[in-house]
Amino acid sequence: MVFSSLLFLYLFLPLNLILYHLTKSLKIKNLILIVFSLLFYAWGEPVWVSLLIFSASIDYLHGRIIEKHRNNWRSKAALISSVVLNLSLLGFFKYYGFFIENINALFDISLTVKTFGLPIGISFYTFQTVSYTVDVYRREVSAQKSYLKFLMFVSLFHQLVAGPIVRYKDINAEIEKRVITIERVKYGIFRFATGLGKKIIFANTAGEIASYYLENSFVHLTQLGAWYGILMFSLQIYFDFSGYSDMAIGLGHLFGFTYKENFNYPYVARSATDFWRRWHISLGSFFRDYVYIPLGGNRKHPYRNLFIVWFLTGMWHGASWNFILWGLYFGVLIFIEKAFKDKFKIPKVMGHLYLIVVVLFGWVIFYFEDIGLMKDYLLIMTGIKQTSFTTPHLMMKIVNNLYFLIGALVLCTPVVKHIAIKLKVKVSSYDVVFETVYAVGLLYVVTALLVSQSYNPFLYFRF
Amino acid sequence: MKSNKVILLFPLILIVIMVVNIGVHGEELFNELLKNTYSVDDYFSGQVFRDVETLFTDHFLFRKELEASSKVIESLNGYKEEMEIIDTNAINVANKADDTLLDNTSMGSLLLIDNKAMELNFKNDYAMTTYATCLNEIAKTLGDDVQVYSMLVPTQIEFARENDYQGYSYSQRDALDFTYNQYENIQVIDVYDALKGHSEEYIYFRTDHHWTQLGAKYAYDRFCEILGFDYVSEDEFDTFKVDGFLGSLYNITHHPKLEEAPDTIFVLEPKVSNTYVADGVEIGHAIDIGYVQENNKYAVFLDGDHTTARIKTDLNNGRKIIVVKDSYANAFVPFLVYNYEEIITIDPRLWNGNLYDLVKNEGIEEVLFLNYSLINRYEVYGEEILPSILSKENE
Repeated sequence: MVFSSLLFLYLFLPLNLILYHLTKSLKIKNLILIVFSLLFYAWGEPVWVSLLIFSASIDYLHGRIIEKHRNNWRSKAALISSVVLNLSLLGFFKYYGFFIENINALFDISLTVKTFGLPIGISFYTFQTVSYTVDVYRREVSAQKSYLKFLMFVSLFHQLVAGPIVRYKDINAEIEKRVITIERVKYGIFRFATGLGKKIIFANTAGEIASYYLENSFVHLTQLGAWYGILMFSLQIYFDFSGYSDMAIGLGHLFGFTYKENFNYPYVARSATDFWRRWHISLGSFFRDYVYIPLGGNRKHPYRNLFIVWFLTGMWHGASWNFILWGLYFGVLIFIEKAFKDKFKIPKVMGHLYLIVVVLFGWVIFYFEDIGLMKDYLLIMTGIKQTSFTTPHLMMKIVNNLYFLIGALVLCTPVVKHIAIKLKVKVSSYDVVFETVYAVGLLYVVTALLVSQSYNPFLYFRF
Repeated sequence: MKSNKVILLFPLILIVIMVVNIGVHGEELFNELLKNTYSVDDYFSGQVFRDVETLFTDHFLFRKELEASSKVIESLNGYKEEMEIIDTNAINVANKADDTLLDNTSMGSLLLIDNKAMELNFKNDYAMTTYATCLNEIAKTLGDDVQVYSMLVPTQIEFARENDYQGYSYSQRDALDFTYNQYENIQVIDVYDALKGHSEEYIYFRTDHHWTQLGAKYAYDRFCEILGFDYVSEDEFDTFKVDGFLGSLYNITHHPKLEEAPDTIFVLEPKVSNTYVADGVEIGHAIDIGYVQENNKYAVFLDGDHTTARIKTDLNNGRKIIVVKDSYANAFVPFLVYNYEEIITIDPRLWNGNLYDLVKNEGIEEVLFLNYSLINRYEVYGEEILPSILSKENE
């Protein structure tokens, strides 16, 4: 199931909210969350919900063993076992096919690959449970003694399917006790509605436009068309992904959970380094805390560590060489930026322009799993392959979608947020009226679009 | 603060809509779901859940009003007052003639101007060459006793005048010339000028990709001219009309500008008596008001697309013709009752027969290939669809 569907909005969610808030008992509340979360997951993965439960169960045991045997070897063994098991699960379901393809290519043989489909969200929940066992081992948090509470943490539908990657230690207090105030509800609804709007109004529209340039034959693709297409894709993926995080965070608040921000206006960054502090923050910090720093960070073997982290960051996004290339592409840029950071200063605008160009090319690498298509697209984009610059068709398309483009670009910046904050101060106690109108208005627009939209993709099926 | 509770309006709306939706549509949704028989596999593959979601969306409250709202919202995307480009990503348009048959047409991009929508042409030399090569093959196989005709009908965008928007569409004249120049022993029925001369008249629909029967009539006049048949004037037809026609281009876009100006099908019914046997069943005449369906009014001609059909007249002049066609031919074929004692239509996408055998067995000497010229955007026609009528596989 996905948040951006009529069934979720007008059946699943209201039922969940009613049942959850009807009871006062925390135990029953947790049970309701587990049942609804498993149902949410099973709706899209009727078979692999079993894997989710299995993964959660295993790491519940691991956590307890680590804590119980802190003074002997079993603790470390359990940690290693947890990491190995989780990565093996991920490796098998996500990377097995990729691995075999490469073996075949390398040794010129043809082993047959029998893969299962990729269980949705496996990249998220395996990382979440690994972060748990590592944090327990590092004594940053004590093991969860209740199996049900742990299962709830792993399966919580808010962030299970599309992030953010929530660490156990960030919400362990709220697992035990949750306080929901009307202020919190107000904020939660505001975030949820915003996310819905981002996804349905902006991401889906941008995606539909982008697909015309990216998915069709490049025979008629012009240079401007290539730029326009990838620009639309970069808007799509930002609004889709950050919109989903907004919805997750908003939902969290409605049930008493606080999740950390996952996006911070990444497209206003002025360097690749800055970009990755703003994009998919929970993933970047995961690799920093659980891979980069344990490997020695920037003190021991910094180049090797950077390479590994960016290789893995790329690979996490998909079992295909283009994703690894994408990760390394940013790794190299970040490395260069670090090396030249103090050597000379670039004017802010230049830095921003540089980042935009770098990110757009990056998305081309990210989008095309077929290297041949990637190459063709880049050749047209850079003008190396001679094509027309534009056509009347494209110009009319741009005109037909101009207001949308401007609106989307503005929303990539914090301008609207700052205006809203200033307005909020002005209207003070009536701000709830505006927020309600905002949320209900968005709900109406989103519902209308959902009813008639045939294009409502779920971009994270490969995670 | 007490007033903060106003925000609870949001979840309240979700709950109210949930309750009302289930109350009003719950039963029919359930019944629809029960109509399907599901296997255990369907549960584990998620198919059941997907169907529930689809049904939930299809039976949503105020669906029509919400759709209308969404069209208003979409119109805000940019400046669309003058004209609008709609890229459909080659969505297949299904115009069901009956439950078992789908009229699939690959749509590319559309131009919407005033109240009409038009498909846009683009250049594909390879597709045109495969079409020509395939026709040449067929002509050669059928032999010298059989005359092959080719009619490729240009579409509305070609003759568009307003705002000089031909620049959006590759010249169909050029495309046709490129194709025709590759023909060997094929009689070209070039109706381009015939249509161009009447382009100010209602010869194409606004909301559908087809031509009107008036357009087909002008093409038929040209056909008669080339083949030496007598001119048939409009007085020789009974006329009636079919109102409120919202066609294929409306079906893809659901655009309000098309909805507010539906087409009218002005039908010219030949006064020659004829019987029409479609897929083995005699259903009436070539044109019959009874063929009209709510979601497919163009079917008034030949009852839409059938795999194969026969029209028999009592001309008894020994002339028969096979028309290998797409749906453009439907408006044209009825005119042939003035000239042939039997007309056999074949839809090459669906037909499993062999054209050579048919020609030999029935002693047919004329075969007309009739398509709209936009099929030369896609090589599938010349590569797969047409060659299939000569294949021996399906015997």
